[in-house]
Amino acid sequence: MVMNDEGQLYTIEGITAGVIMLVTAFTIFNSGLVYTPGDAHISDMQIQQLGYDALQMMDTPEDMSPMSASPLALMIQNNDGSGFKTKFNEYLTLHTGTTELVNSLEFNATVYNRVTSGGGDTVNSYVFSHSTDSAVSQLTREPAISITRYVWLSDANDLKSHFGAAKYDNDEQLVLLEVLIWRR
Amino acid sequence: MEALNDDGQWIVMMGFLVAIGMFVLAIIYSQAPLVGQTTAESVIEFPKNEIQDIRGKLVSMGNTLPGISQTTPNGAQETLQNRFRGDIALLSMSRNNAIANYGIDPVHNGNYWYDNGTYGDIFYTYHQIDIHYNNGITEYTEALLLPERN
Repeated sequence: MVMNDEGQLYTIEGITAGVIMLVTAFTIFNSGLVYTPGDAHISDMQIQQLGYDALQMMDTPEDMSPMSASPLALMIQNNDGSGFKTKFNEYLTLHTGTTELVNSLEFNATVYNRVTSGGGDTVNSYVFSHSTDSAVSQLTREPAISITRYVWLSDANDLKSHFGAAKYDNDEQLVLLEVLIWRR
Repeated sequence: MEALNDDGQWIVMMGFLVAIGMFVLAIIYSQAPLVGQTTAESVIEFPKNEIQDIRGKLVSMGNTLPGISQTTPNGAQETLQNRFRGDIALLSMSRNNAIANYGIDPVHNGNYWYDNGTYGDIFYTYHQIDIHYNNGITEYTEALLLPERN
């Protein structure tokens, strides 16, 4: 018996239509979650690493003998927020010639220190430095990234005169510098 | 039934195949942000920089750590260590949500390392520093051997 090969195209068309409907349904049910580069934390990771690297460079002492003060430690000891702003901004904006539009990082730096006077262990904090307030940043900005660095202060005398014994121990100590970085 | 005109079946079928191929490529392409996301989140989640920071601070203390360059108990070094350890423990807990602490062979009578000596070879004596870090997701423990020249 000779096989009847009529209607092959109809068969293929039917199968194809079925596949297309399946793919369409698959696509629709998978599109509940749409990832955009902003959601994907890729730029967050890069900003975080950039910030850690910048702080590490600033926290590298010129004199490598034990417990010596780094440039960053000297800035904190002398409460030199504007010096930190200049230097940190310089590291953040070291680039290959991008425009101001791309190069738009802002930051806010806070110092946390342990206070033992009065017998307890309490955490004191104060705003150390921040980038120049931008009008754009008041309207919109991307989420901030937190980076931290422990800084060894070999002499906190100056800070005690600024903040008082209730806020700062008059002693060599370790403080935590936390910097929030965001893109405006 | 009218006779079916079956000319050009191959052309039509190849058209369908190309269309399906484009669908598949689009789905593969749509996975690219997901790959970047999981990688980036893993990098962010692991506290590499915090651990390196604490580790670096301990190594940079050098001979101000108790037990190094010392044959007798040294009150100044103990005071320094209490300050350092207290600061790391409290600040990491309050700001980084992490338990961070370290241990080092102290110099006092009755301590095993003091009485029997620590690790060493003919050139160096090695002082063991145990570093502990736990932020609830990452638990990290390291035994660091800090060499001191004999």
